[in-house]
Formats: sequence, C-alpha cells, structure tokens
Amino acid sequence: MSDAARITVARSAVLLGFLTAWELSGRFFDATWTSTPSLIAMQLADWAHDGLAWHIAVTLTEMAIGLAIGVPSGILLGLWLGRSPLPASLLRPFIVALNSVPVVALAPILIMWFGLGMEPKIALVTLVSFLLLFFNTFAGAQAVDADWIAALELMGATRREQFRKAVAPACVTWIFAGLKNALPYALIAATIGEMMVARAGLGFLITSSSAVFDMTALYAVLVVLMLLGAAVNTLAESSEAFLLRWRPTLSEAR
Amino acid sequence: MTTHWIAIWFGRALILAGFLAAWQLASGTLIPKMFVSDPISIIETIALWIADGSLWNHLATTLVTLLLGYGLGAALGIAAGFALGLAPFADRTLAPFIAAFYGLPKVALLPLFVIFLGIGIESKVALVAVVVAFLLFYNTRAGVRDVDPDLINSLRLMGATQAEILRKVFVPVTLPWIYTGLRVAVGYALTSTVVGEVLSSNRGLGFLIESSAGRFNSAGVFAAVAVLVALSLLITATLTRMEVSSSRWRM
Repeated sequence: MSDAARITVARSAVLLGFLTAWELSGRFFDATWTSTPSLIAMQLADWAHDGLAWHIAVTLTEMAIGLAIGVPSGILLGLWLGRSPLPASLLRPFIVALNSVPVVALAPILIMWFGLGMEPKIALVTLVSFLLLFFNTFAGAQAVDADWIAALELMGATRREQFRKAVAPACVTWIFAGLKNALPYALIAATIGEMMVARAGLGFLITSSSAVFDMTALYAVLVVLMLLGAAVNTLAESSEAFLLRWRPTLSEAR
Repeated sequence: MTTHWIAIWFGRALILAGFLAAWQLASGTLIPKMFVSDPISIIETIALWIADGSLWNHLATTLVTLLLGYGLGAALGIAAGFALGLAPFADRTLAPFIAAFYGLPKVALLPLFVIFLGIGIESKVALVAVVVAFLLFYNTRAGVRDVDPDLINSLRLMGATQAEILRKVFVPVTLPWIYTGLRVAVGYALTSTVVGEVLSSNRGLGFLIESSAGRFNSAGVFAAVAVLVALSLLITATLTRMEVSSSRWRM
C-alpha cells in the first residue's frame, strides 16, 4: 500500500473509531452530557432548514463589515505613522502599551456604547483587525531599508515616488502577515461579542443552547464553528500564498 | 542628543496630559458621562477598591487562573509536540483533526467547560490551557522537525543512546522554538483569562469589567480596564527584561 493510502486509511480509522466510541457510550451509558454524533447530525439537519444559515450569515456579516473598515484604516495609519519619524517617536510608548492590552476584553465597553445589535460586534472586529494591521504595517514601514530611500532620493525621486517604489512593496509582506492573523481573529472577536449579548449569530447559539443545557445543540454549533474556522484559516493561508506567489519561498531561497 | 530625548519625553507627557484633560473636560459636556466616565472618577473608583481590598481579590483570581492555565497548557502542548514530532505517521494521521480543532475559536468551548467544571476558576483554567497548549504544540513540533537528521545519524554512529540523542540534540534545538511559543502564549493566556472571566465567572478582573458594565457603572468599567492595562504592561515589561538577560550569550 502506498504511503498516502496508508495515511488516508489511518485517518478514516481514527475518525470512525472516535465517532463509534462516542455514539456507543451515549447509547449504552448516558447521553445527557455527551450527546451522540447521530443526535448532533439530526440537530444539524433540522437547523439546515431552519435558521442556521441566518445565524452563520449574521456572524459572517459582522466579520466582513468589521474587516472592511478595520483593515484599510489600519494599513493607512501604519503606513503614515511608519514614515513619520517625529509623531512615531512621540507616540511609541502609547503604541507599545496598546499592543499589550487584551483588546477583546474591552467588548463590554463597546456593548455599553453601541447596544445589543450587530454594531458592537462590528466595532470589536473593526478594532481588533485595525490594531493587528496597524502594528504590522507600522513595523513594516519602519523596517524599509534606508539605503533604498537614500538611493531613490539621489535619483531625484519625489516622496510620492519613493512611497510607491520602495515603501509600499516592502510593506506588502508585513501587511499580509497581519491579514493572515486578522481573518481568524475576526471570527474570534465576532464570536466573543455574540457570546456576551446578542439575538443572532453563532456565538448567540452557543450561549442560548448552553443556558438551557441543550448539549446536542451546543456540540452542533461547535461543529459548525469548527468548520467555519477551518475555512477561514484555509482562506487566509491560500490567499497569502496566492498573492505573494512572486516571492521565493524559504525552501527555494536556500 | 540628551536634550533631544528630553524634548521627546516632554512631548509624550504633554500628549498624555492633554488626552486626560480633554477626557475630563469632554465628559459630561460633549459626551454623556455614562458612556466615557472621566479620569477623576476612575481614579476614585480604583482608590475605593484598593481601600476595601476587593481589587487584590480580583487581581489574585485573575493571576492564579492565568498561571495555572498557562502552566498546564504549556506542559500539555510541549509533551504533545514532542510526542507527535517524534512519530511522523501518527503526526500525519492526526494533523487534519488537530488543524480543525485549532480553527475553532477556543472561547466557544467555555460554556462547555462551565457546564462540566463549574463557574469557578477551573473552567477558565481549562480555557487558557487549551489556548496555550495549541500554541506550544505547534511551536514544539516545528522545533522537533527542525532537527537535522544528519546530527542524529552521526550521534548514532558514535554509539549514543536514544536518551543521549534526546538530551544532546532535540532539547537544544527545540528550546528556542519552545521559548518563542512561551513568549507568544503569555499574551494569548491573559486575553483568554479575562475574556473567560467576562463571559462567565464570579471573580477576577474580567468579572469586574462585566459586572460594572451590567450596572452601567462606566467608572467601574474603565477602572477595571485601567488595572488590566497596568497588569499587561507589567507582564510585558517583565518578559522584555527576562529576554534581555537570558539572550546575552547569543550572538
């Protein structure tokens, strides 16, 4: 048997074994706390006709709007501050302080400001993605090789040309590193916001099912969130690989 | 050069003072006090909490949760990273399952932990441990894979035992990877602790934030956040200092 086939067989065996053990322990002992895979599957099938898509859409909308505001503003501020030495050195201790603060813990403030709808979740995703992109772009803009700028200046490049030819391309890798973090973090932030107070979304489904000890529903949401998280991670990684395909990878560079 | 730095620090102090003064003045005039509180009320609230001792209780709860979860998660993550790093077949078999779990926002597991472990610190310790374990697992495994097989082969040729290879090759090679993981995990651990406390708990800084917000006591919310900011700054400063003193030998 080929190596790949052996791995596939082993993976299926692990998955099947796990699901069978779970199912049997629920059937023969007690399914109150552990539920069973079949119950969870039925719950998901039920939801598929009734509202699950809506909750997923709410969570995804919060992520999308938050990212659409936070990412560009973070990049712009990072580029500007990274190329402005005086404001940057004045603000440095504040930036360092901000970087060490657990921002998602500020969600209660946002709820106090924006109420119970989608707005505080969008604000939280915006804040988190803004900060991630800002810190990365700022670091990237400051790390631009000073020799390049000096050479461009010598050739008579304007500030605008320097920016377009040296600063922006040099920051791209940093920006994508930030973006790759921001995507999964947006899902985390939206979920946290929904778990605090909400009327819709996957985080709301988690808290509402755990509040009534509906374990089957709770596991079902976790399955959905797991698939969504895996999809978001795959998207983040493959889009980085695609957009930075011109860059030699570490193994090629060796 | 010195005067330059004095000017920079003076500017920084000016920015901070200006920000606080603007906050104090705008509160109650431009913006309702209920939304932003003001610096003086915040300081008064902190002073009150220090006086009645409640601040130390909450701070101690948060720190104990953080340390227990961090220690437990790091131990689990490093052990799992070594185990799977040294067993390529098991590693490749389990990789997609681990990746799927990694994609799940871990805080979604908190209600599950609360149902099984209660509202006390155990559920938050479990959350922090899961978050930290994943980070340490991936870092340790990357470190184990980074080991040059030639080194192992030449040691084998020289007649080294498995234990000697582990001690002379794997530990020194993986140590910087584990160290990086440990460093990164601190921030995640603090975030998870506080978020866990905000979501469901009866003690801790996160609880202080959430319970004040629930009563629309904005001074309380900002006071708790200020303490949290101070705590994270203290932790970051300590780590930076440890890093400087532990990497002196490095080139």
